[in-house]
This record gives sequence, C-alpha cells and structure tokens, in this order.
Amino acid sequence: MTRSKEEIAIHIDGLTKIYPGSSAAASLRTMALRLARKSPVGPKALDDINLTVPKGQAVGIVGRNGSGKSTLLKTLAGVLRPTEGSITLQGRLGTLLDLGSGIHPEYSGAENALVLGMLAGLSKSEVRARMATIREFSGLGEAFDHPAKTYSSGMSLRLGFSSAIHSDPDVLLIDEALAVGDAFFQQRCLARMRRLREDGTTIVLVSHDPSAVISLCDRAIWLEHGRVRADDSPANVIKQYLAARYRDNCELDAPLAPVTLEGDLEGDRADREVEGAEPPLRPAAPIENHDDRFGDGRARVVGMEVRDDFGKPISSVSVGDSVSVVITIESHDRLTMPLVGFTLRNRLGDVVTATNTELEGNHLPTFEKNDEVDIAFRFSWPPLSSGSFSFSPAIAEGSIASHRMCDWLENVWILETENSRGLFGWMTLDDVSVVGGNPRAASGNPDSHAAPSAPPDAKSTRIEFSLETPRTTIVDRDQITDNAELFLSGWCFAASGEPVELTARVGSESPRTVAVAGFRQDVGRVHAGVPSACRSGFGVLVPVPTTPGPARCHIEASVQGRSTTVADLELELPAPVRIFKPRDTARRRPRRSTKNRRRVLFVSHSLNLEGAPRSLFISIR
Amino acid sequence: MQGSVKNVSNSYAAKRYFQLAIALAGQEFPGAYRGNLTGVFAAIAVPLAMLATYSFVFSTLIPVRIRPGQSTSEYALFLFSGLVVWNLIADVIARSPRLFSGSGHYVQRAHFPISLLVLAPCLASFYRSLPWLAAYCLAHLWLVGTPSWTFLAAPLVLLLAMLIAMGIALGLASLGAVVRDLADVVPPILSLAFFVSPILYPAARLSEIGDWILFLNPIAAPIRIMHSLLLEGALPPVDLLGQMALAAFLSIGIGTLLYLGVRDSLQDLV
Repeated sequence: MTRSKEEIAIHIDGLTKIYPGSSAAASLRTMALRLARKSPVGPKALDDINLTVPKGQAVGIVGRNGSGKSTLLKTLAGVLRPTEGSITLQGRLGTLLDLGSGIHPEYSGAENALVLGMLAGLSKSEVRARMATIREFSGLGEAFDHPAKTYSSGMSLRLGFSSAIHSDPDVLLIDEALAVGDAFFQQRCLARMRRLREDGTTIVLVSHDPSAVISLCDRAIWLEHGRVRADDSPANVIKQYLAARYRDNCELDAPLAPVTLEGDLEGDRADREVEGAEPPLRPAAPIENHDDRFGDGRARVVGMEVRDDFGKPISSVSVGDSVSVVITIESHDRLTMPLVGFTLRNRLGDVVTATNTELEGNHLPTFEKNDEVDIAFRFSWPPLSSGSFSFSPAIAEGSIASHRMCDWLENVWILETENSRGLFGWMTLDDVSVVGGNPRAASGNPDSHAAPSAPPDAKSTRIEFSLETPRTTIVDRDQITDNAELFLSGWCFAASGEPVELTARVGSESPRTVAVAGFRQDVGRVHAGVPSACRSGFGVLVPVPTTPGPARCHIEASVQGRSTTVADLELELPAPVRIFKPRDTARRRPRRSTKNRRRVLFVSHSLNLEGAPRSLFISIR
Repeated sequence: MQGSVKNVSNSYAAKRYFQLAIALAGQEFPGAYRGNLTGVFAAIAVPLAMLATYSFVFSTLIPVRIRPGQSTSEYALFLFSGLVVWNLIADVIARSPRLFSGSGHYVQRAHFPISLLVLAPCLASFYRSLPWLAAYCLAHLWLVGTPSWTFLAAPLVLLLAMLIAMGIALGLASLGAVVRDLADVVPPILSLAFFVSPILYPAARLSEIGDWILFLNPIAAPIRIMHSLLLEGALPPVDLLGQMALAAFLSIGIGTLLYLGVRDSLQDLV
C-alpha cells in the first residue's frame, strides 16, 4: 500500500472469524481439541479478509445471508473480536448495527439520545448542542420525550439512526438498517448519508438493496462464504452478484421439473431427495376453510404460497426480489387441457396483473384423476408501489379463449410490498434519466440554447459484454466438460435492443454460436438507459483443443449481420483428465447434475416459468 | 494468534468516560426520583424509617447494650453506621456476577467501554449510600447531639469502600461471564460475610474468636473505620487505614487481572 497512514480509514489484514460456539456441544473430543488448540475450530464466518478503505470512501457490502457481511461489520465495530488478523480504524466510529441496541426502555428519547451520543464519542455538552437537530431529524415529535418502551421498531430506528448520524462519525457502519422505517425516513437517511459522504465520512453499508449500494457507494464488495468474491465499482459487483444469484436460482430450480409427462411424481420426488443437493418443489401450504371460491370442482386448488429465493414462504417483498408463486392442485377428474394461473390484486381490489401457464408458454400435460401437482411461477417482483397485494389462484380446463373454471379462490395470499421510491401511484418507473434542469435566462441568451445533439446514428449500436466464466485466463480442469468443451458464460446485450449472436472459438477448434435471449429486469436495471427487454446472459459450451497450454479465445458479437470482436484473450488450458471409471458406473452417475444446470442456465432466461415440462427444454435445445 | 481491533483515535478520553459512567449510574434510579427534590426527600425518608424501626426494636423490644452503661438508642446508631457501609458493598457484590453476562446489549455495542458496566453500579450504590449517611446524621443529632467533625470524613470512607466493592465486583463479573452459576453462589456467601463483619456486634467480639476473621474480611476495616468516625468521633487507628488500603489495592488488582483474562473473549461469551 502506497497510501500514507493518514488517508486510510480502515485497514483489515488477514481477518478471520470463527464463532467459538459453532462447534460447542459437538463432542468432548472437539471441546478438548478447542482447549488444546486455544483457537476455536469450526466454520469460518470470515476467512482471511484483506481490505483497505481510504478515507471518505463509501463501501457497500453485498452477499447472501450467512456470507459474513454482518460478521465483518460487527468485527469492524469491535463488537466481535477477530479470531485472527488485525483491524486498524482511524477516527470516530458511528454504528447502527441493530435496532435498539443501547436504547434504555425506561428513558425518554432525549435521554437515550444523550447516552447514545456519549457512547458514540461525544461529550455531554456536544450532544446537548445537537439535541434539537437530533429531535428534528428523528421526526419523533412529542414522542421524543416519551419513554423508549412506548416506541415501535420504526421509531427506535429513527432514534438510533438520528443519534448515530449526528455524532459526527469519521467512519459510519450501517447494517441493513434502512430496511425498517417508512419510505420518507429512508429517503431522508439516504440524503443525509450522501451529505456525510461528501463531507469525507467513510461509510460501510451492508445492504440487500442493490440500488442503495449503487446510488450511495463508490465501491462494492461481494462476500461469499466469508471471502471477498469481488471488489470493484458498485455497478460491476452488483451485476456479477445478481447474475450469480440468478444462476444459483436456476440451479436450484433445475431438478424440480415438478410436472412430468409420465405422471410419476412421487417417484421422481423421492429420487431427487436421495440426491440431496437441492430441495424438490415442495407442495404449497394447504388452504383450509376458504369459502370465497367458485368452480365446478373437477380440480381443486389445495395449496398456495409465495416463496422467496430460498424456498421460504414470505409475507413481504421488495422490488426486484425473485418470488415463486407455488400452487398445488388436486384433480378429481381427468383434465386434458389444464390451465393454472393466478390474479394479483392491490388492496383496493383492482386487478394489477394476471397470468397463467398458457400465457407463459407452458402447456401443462393432462392431469389424471387424483393427481397432485405443484406448479411454480417464478418472476421478479415488479416495481409496484408500496402496499399489500393479494393472490387469487385458479385452475381451469381449456384455453385462455375458452375454458371452464374448475376452482377459483379469492385472496389466498397477501404480500406486503416495500418500494422505497414508490410513494405515489401504482408503480415506479424503471431507468428514468433526468436531463436538463438548468435555468434559462428569460431574456434568452442565444448561446445558452445549445443546439440539440445529433440523434444517435441509427446504424450503430453499443454492445455491452462481460465474461463471467472462466473467471481467470488460467482454466481449471473442472471447467472443461469431458475434456472437450469449455463453458463460457456472461452477459451481452445491444443497446438498440436487437438480438445478439455470439460466436466463440477457442484455438483452431470449430466455433460455436449462441443467440442471446432476453433477461430478467432486475438484473438489467444495473445498466441505466438501456431498454430492459434486450439484456441477456449467455452460456455456451465451446470445443477446446486437447493439448494443454495457451490457446486463443475469440468471441465475436453480431447484430443484424454486423459483427464486432468483444473478447480476445489468451487462455491457459489444463492437461486433460483421464477418466478411470468403467463406462457403466459413469453412466449411472447423475451426470445431469452438472450438465443439466448449464443447459437450464442457458435456456431459462427466456422462461419465467418454473414448472415447465422437461420436453420443453429439450425442444428448445 | 488472537486477532486485534485497534482504533487509532477512538480512545475514550477520561472526561467522557466518567461522564458516561455518571449517565449510566443515573439509569439505575427510577425516573420519578431523578432530578427533583421529592426524590431526595424520599431517598432520606427510607433510611430514616429504617433507623426509627431499629431504635424502637433495639431499645424497647429487645434492649441491646454493647457496652455496659451505654444508652440503648446507641445500639441502633451502631448498627446503622455499619449498615451504611454494608449496603453499599453488598448491593454491588450481589449483582456483580450478572453485570457482564446480563448486559449483552451494551457488551455487543460498538466500542463500549465494558469496565463501565461495573463502575456505573458502584457509583449508583455510592449515590444511594449518601442519603443513608444523611439520615444517620439526622438521627445522631436527635439522639446524641451534634456529630463530631470526623463525620465529614465518612463520605471518603464510603468512596474507599466503593473501590473495594468495585474490585470484588469486577472479578466476580468476569468470572460470572464464564461461570453462569456464580450468580446463585454469591448470595449465601454474602449472608455469611454479614455475620463475620462487625455490624451486629463490635469488632472486639469477633476478635475474641480470632483476629484473622477481621483481617481476612475485606469489608471489616471500612466498617470499623466508620464506627470510629461516626460513633467515637475519633480518627481511626493507622493499622485500620492500612488494612483498608490493602483491601482496596488487592481487590482491584485481582479484579483487574480476572477482567483482563476474560476481556478479549467477553463478546463471544455474553
């Protein structure tokens, strides 16, 4: 590091954290080992983190649950002690790690603010001097003088945030705090944090909200399994992070394929459970005593729930979160053309949207009598304004144009939506860019009227391309399938919205071409100013030479017959692996678990539907 | 190797440390009592009522005389002067095992000076003992007459007693974070300590059994000093002062050692 000590706010060197409790009560032997070793054993919540944050930088930390984000922040705050490594902080620390920490329930907001401010490093008189500002910012009004035990969690947050932010921190650590609190307060906090950043405060923000990280931070760090997976500009890191999350989701979904043509549902499920890698599509929570329904009853909706990425039922959702609407059907008769769907209503009962299997391009197979079928609709939550929304699932027989309703249930599942920008109306706009806003003198100075810039050349289009795998130019053995094909994946889209065709060639092997399909909106939101329909991820298997050593990888993108080179890199290929396994055992192994995933990754982008029959995938291939 | 977190410029200035200690000690008092005159009166009324009860019980119901020829009301004063010190110390020690383990929300707070968790209750106990002293003073005025000038040194003795209590509490709080059951062990030991302290009977009675009792008991010295200051109006003998200083020094030393032993792992323990 060439920076002088003065400019560094946070320096983390080889930080490792192991929770000592994690292997407790495992066995006497492990306990003895722990004593003997002195340092605890167990999974590493943080694993050899090295970071330097210069003064005044705003760093966003993203990662899945359990990736070590909060542990990192708590260790920075000195709440947790590192197992190994060291942290050096410069300056006064302001923290907002969790709600209500340090808030005394018997004390009034003002008295708490006094103690909180002193805990944050101010003297009594300094806090007194700020009290009016803290009171005003918190927006608690009269409640500021009431005991904190009468506060709601949102009010505690206001008090905590207001105290933390007015303690003039040099380093501000914030953990997910903005998730609570109403939209107005969130906006005020973001604005205030921006101002602090401009004044040179170093900010470390842990957030699930990609837009907050992008708008507030200069740098983002992606943690995975306690390690730094990416450390780059927020836009880049978020792009990679969302891509990986999406990919993981596809992998999770891949073995689900809940509706099979054979109708061998139970057997199929059992198989998958033995594999144990990913959970099968669970039947949705049963619906009991729901009176508000109609239909001829030849099939019934027996269960419905809305789940998040991890298969957990949810009652609230944020814009861009991926949700699965899972509907469980029980057929009491043979249905030749089943049609399953749902209607989404807002709190006033207006239909916001509705969809069904046919609309999403998935024609369900015939349901036999007494079949039980689970169907999942997976999509990312649209930018609807805050409020509650209800789902009404239905099963019918026939087509959209002509069908007989078997069962329709009103308002089975309520989902609370949080949208910090959605204060007005039904929804928020995506990718708004605001131009202009410079006041013009009334008398009209001709110079200030710049000629409108020439319209962009209709012939040219910007192509944005990023390669995700292989991540390094030195290719690992396990990235090459059967010693023959290398998996290339990443992102590519044309700003004009036209389809892109990618041609990749490694060495002198034959090239492969892949057409890039449309991608989900939440991933695309990262690229401001580009229409959302055209954003795409790609994945393609490219033949590679069997000889180890350097090989040229050349990727060309073509739009409407015009092509350009988007990547040209030198790959270092590994030596081929010998396969020792006898043929039959190799075949019996579920090779699908590696191959299928890739295929699904490749095609799923054009599909929003989880419950598509397997034949659909094959036909697309 | 144990990791470290250091903050180059976030060290707690001594002034702010004590401001914070005083603010936290203030949290110990119920809101209604804080910062008004009624609270002060209430704080003195309770010990006065206690003192009235004692003098009634020990002069009328069971007349007790320590020395022959002494007035019976003097026993109540004797008992009360010992209790002033005892209450201060016992109050802190009884709570001490849970001071760390029971305040996770502070221990888990960023850069919270954890030693404050012991200092604040000690200060609070010290505050609480002052009205008791005032009540004693009133009773002395009523029953015996104007107290001797040595009375002025009494708060200083209470402060030193607080230091002894703080050392013990620091040690017990540290142990209590590791051994949770300590909280159940301490109360019976405390009641034992009550009976081997010169509170109910003069030190001479205890030294008849053995001087070692008085010597090993860290709270005996401050109680005896209090007796001599308040009841006899005389400066305490030097050996008692030395004993008290030694008790304070040892308890704070041992307490600090125990605290340093657990400090680094406290956040994980609590």
